[in-house]
Amino acid sequence: MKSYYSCLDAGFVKYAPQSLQHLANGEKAKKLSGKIIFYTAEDFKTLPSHGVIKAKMDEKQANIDGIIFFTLRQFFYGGRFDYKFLKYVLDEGYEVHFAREDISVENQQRLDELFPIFYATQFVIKRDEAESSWDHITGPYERIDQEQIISKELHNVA
Amino acid sequence: MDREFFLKNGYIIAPAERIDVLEQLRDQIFEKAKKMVDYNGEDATQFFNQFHHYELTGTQLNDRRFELYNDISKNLNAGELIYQAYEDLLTNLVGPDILVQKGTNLVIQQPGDSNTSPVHRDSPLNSPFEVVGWVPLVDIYATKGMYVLNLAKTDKALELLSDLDSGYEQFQKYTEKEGTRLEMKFGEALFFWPGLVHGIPLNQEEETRWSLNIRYKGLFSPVGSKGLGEFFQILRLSPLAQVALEHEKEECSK
Repeated sequence: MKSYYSCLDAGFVKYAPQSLQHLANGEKAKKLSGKIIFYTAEDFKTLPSHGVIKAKMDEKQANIDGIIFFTLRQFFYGGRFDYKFLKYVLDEGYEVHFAREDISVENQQRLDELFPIFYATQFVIKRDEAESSWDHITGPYERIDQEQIISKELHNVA
Repeated sequence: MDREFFLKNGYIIAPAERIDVLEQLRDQIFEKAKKMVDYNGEDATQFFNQFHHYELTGTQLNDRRFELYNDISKNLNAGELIYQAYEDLLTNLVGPDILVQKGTNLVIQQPGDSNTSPVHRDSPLNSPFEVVGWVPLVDIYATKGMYVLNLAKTDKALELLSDLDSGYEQFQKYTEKEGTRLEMKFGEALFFWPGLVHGIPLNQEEETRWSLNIRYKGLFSPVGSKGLGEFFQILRLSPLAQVALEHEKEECSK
């Protein structure tokens, strides 16, 4: 039986709660005849860089077949499709799967085949959705940060 | 393709450009379906039309329909075959860089079965930049088919929905009364703009309708609530798009 890390979309928890994302990723693992052995999510600040999951992959004891992400959007937080990171994960020998889109990228050849739809998905979202909807969904402490920034900016203007 | 008719009405009924491909698809579905009910005959049309004699209803019917849906979408590659059967028309409507819905829906409408889709439109929810392909696997007529409002009548029907008390009831009655009831032979398909209001009558004929429905859209056209990656996959790319995307891939690699 294959083993997977589950990587939830921390930026989208307000609309797709963790419990729902767990279900979706677990179901995807089941479809792949596998199971989730560990789950994680990025910090808001590492959403574009994938810092958390990268660190988990660097732990060489990680004995997994691949990573199941909740959604392809997790590769768009940097403002464009993060082809580089997806390729990096594959090059490290892991499969990449997306639960929401029900898409599997097992190897470089499959990534090349899927590149047009990944690119177009990101392009159309960036072009057509309001910029604010593109940001991660902020939690309470982020709101405080925002308020502090706004208040600082107002202060500066004053 | 009758461009003027489509522009005026928002839909078009077209004969298959390659009936052999459509027959191949129908026959493959027939081969899968007949195993489900132990049918030994060779006549696909008769099998589909008389399917209600197996008296499958509720979950028995839906389980088989769902199994067929998976087969049709994944193994028979119906989206590709329907495209091949109507390629010129679809390229005219959608353009050369074309996406196809991942799953091809199958509807089995037996006589007297009141489980029909309510009167509705596909867009919004779906993008208005899609085209819906509705492909019957048998001849349809009278109440065995569907009805559709053209662009002008759709506008009128939607106005009725503003009445919060009985809007939907009026909308439904208007659509049933004013909708064009389709008469189509196997081989013909309906392609319509997803904003058109349409509905399915109670099948009062003595034959069962089998039909497929599927959506196509342009690669970079706006999406609805159903995102590209989750709902569509690439079907065809123009040479220009292929070159441009290769270039973009290089850029994304840096």
